[in-house]
Formats: sequence, structure tokens, C-alpha cells
Amino acid sequence: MMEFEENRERARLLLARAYPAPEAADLERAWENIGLLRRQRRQARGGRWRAITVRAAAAALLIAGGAVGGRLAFGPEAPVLRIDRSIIGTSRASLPSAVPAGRERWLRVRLWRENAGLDPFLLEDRSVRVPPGHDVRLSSGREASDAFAFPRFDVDLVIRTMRFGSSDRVVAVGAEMSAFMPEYDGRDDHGRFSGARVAGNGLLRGGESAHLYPFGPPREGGGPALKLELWLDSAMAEVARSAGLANGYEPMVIETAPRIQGAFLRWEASDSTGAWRIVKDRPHFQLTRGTVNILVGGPYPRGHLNVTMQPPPFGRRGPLCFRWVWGDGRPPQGGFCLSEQQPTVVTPIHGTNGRLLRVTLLEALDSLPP
Amino acid sequence: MSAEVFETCFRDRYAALVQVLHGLTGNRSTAEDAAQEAFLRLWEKGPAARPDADHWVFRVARNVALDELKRERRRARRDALSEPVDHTRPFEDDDVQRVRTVVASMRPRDREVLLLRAFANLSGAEIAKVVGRRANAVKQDLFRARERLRELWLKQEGASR
Repeated sequence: MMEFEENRERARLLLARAYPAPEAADLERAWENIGLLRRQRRQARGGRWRAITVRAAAAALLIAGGAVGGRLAFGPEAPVLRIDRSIIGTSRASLPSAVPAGRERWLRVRLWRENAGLDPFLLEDRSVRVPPGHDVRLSSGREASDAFAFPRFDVDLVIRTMRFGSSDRVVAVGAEMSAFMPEYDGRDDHGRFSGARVAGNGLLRGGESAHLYPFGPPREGGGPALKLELWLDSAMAEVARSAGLANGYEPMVIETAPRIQGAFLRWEASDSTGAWRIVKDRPHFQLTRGTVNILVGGPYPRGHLNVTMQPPPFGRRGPLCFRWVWGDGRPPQGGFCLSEQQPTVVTPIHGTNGRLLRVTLLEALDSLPP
Repeated sequence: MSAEVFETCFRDRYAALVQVLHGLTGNRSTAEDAAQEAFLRLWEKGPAARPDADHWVFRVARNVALDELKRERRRARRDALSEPVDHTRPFEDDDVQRVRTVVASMRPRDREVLLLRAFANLSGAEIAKVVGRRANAVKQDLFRARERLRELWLKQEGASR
């Protein structure tokens, strides 16, 4: 028997189990969402047709169009206005007021090897220039020499900065990550993760860095952990140092490539009569590797789909693909892909009585508005 | 509101806010959306300092969640025939399911004071600011809510035997 009066703590624990606190990754996603919503609303408020003069709008669009060498076109969903461009990586105007071009940043990466209870060991310190709308892939060089325990890894990161007042926060979302961490006794400990998850985040205020453990932090009695320490800044001196060069180790490679950073989407679900209804605000903006909750009918969690948008493979153009699972993470699950050539897809919602999901790609953005 | 105050408030209060709203609405997704909306409004037009900001964000989130709940109920009535077929929650143990059933069957005004006390650890006076009732009334609500929770729990326990 649960004695509420005699044992309020037990009641509190049961309530906490029934309504669990969000996990750290959920907290970071919420933080990111709030920043994004704020920017969207600020733009929506400042970006109405009535809010700018015809002359100013024309001038801004001409400048934007001319600067990127592209052509202007009206999107399928008024009042969304698109600038189609052949040059990738500069900013794309998605609202009536031209969005200012994204800034080029410098990314500095320090690679650490950490063992629980021991001082971390700096393996590499390297920086690279990141054009707007580019993602980053970090990978090790060739296999480490036997004498020196260097990790081999491949990490595909979407790195975003969210601005609040005077401070920036860097959020790194990783996917398709793999690492082989040589043990001191010569054994290989490997980790692999596909899908998407927040690898880490940190404030950038006052030169602070973000610390990422793509495969988890060091554990007592466990093997070594790989830590990435990131800085993102508009001005930075070029850095290239490696502790392993003397041992014949090839330096860490930091690649950057343009990739779609987000998309405006329309979500619709069919009901039992076959009629379509919109199940998410229109147009809903989704970040690459972000997860969105789509209410398709019924209580949580089996009336909700968690849908994650995956970009094309690093450095390649291709369709935007989506994976969905039910709110409780249990099967069945599904997926589909969208592209500019095939902007609408109708897919069955497995686990229901023949209901369908219709998703329309309204606009894909190569870079987020700053 | 400064960025530092906002972030501190967010990191201190977001989790509790989601828990309270989850209990209030019975829907995790609605709870998260309402909590984020409340923090967005806090950043744009909320009080500049704490603890006023804390009460404000709880009050706004509660109102947003209740509004959304009304909309969802209307939608559910409209789509009553198009529910997904599988509503089982196999990952939840009996106690969790029972607590949710008990909390859902409480009166809304009892439920909200109970959850605000349990998760946000607010005092009677603070809860009164959030729910817009007098502190004495809130104390009575809280007492009645605990009694009701106990009764319902015992009833559920009896029914499950």
C-alpha cells in the first residue's frame, strides 16, 4: 500500500516515474527549438510584405539574387519566396525579406584521449575555415603506430550555433560515427553509432569551448574515451598541431561540405474516411537531424510519431530522408525520402488501420538564417 | 531579461515544467511544446528577474497547455473514428500506469497544485501566483488533492487485486 501521508517521498518517486524528467539531450533539443522559434518569429514579424517598402524589397532581393548569381522564383506556398541558386553554401532567402548572408566561421578542434582518473592527453589541435551552410566531418588519418595509442575515428557532425542575447551556444549533432580506440595493451575497443543524437554542446561566451564525447564519457574501469573540444569563432588564428607526428601518425582530417540544413515541410495524415488533415503547423520548419513529434491521432505515445530528418551523405547531393518511430520507440517503424524532383510522398503509417502520411517538401535551406 | 538569467531559469525550471505539464495534460508532446512556448514568451516579454520569472513561466505554460488540451479534445472528438489501433504501453509497469490513471481522474485544480508541489517544489504562496487563486485556497486544494490521491490509489489497488 502506498501510504501517502506517511510516505510522501514514495509518492513523489512514483510521480517522477510516471512523469519522468526530460533527459539531457531533450533539454538541449528544447533549448535549440526555443532559439529557432524565436528567430523564426522575429523574421516573420519583420518580414511581412507590408513591413517593407516595395523599393526596399526589390533592392534587397536584387542584391541577394545578384550576390549569389541565381534566379528568383516564387515558392509553391505563398508567401514563401525562394532564390534558386547554383552556388551552394551561401545563404538562401526563404522569407519575403532577404535573409542576410551567413557568416564564415573558424572551427578549432582539439582531440583528447581521456581515461577515468587520469589527466586527459591532448592528441591534436587543429582549425579549419567553415563556410556558411557547411557541415563538418572529422576523421583520423591512417592507422596509428603500435607505439602510440591513437584513436581511429570518423565523425559526421552538424554544428550549429544558437544565439541568446550576447552569448552563443554551439550544439553539435552527430550521426554515422565510428571509432576504434586502441587500448594500451594493444586491443581495439570500437564504438559505432548511426542515426542522430546531440553529441554535445557548450557556451561560446568568453572563449569557452564545447566538450563532446561522441561515444560517451570515460568510465571508471572502462576503456579510454574520445573527447572533442570545439571552438567556433569568426576570427581565429590557424592552428595545426599533433602529438603523434613524430610517431608517423597522419594528422586528423577536418573536411567541410555544403549540406541542407533544414526544410519547410507540410505534414498531413489521412483519417478513417480517407480525408487529409494537416497535423503540424504550416509550414513547419525542421532542422536537419532534428526530431519532430507528429500527432497523428490518439494519446501519447502510440498516437505520435517521432520523425528525424537525415541529410544526404556527407559531401554528396541527394534526397532528404526521414525515419519515423512511434512515440514509445517500439516497432513498427518507417521511412521515406523527399527531393526537389519528388517533393511529395505518401507513405503508410504502419501500426494503424491503413492510415497514410503525406509529407510535402516546401523549401529546403542550404543554410540557416543567422 | 539578460541571456544569463534566461538560461539559468531555463536550466533550473524546464524539466520540472515539462513534468508538471505532462501530468496536467497527460500528453508528453503537448507538455514539451507548451513549456517551450512559455520560455519563448518569457524571453520576449516576461519579467526581467527571478523569482518572478519562475512564477510567470509556470503560469503561462499552464495556460498554453490548457488551451492546447481544449483544442486536442475538439480534434479527438472530430477524429473519434480514426484512432490508431495500438494504445498499449508495454514499457510501463503497473505502478506507473496506475499513478497516471489516478492523476488523470483527479479534478484539474487538485491535479495542478499537487504536480506543482511535487515537481516544482513551489510553496503554497508561489503556487497561488501560478494558478491565480488565494494562498489559503491553494493550501486547502493541496490538502484535498493529497487526500483524493490516496483515496483513488487505494481504490485502484483494490480494483487490481
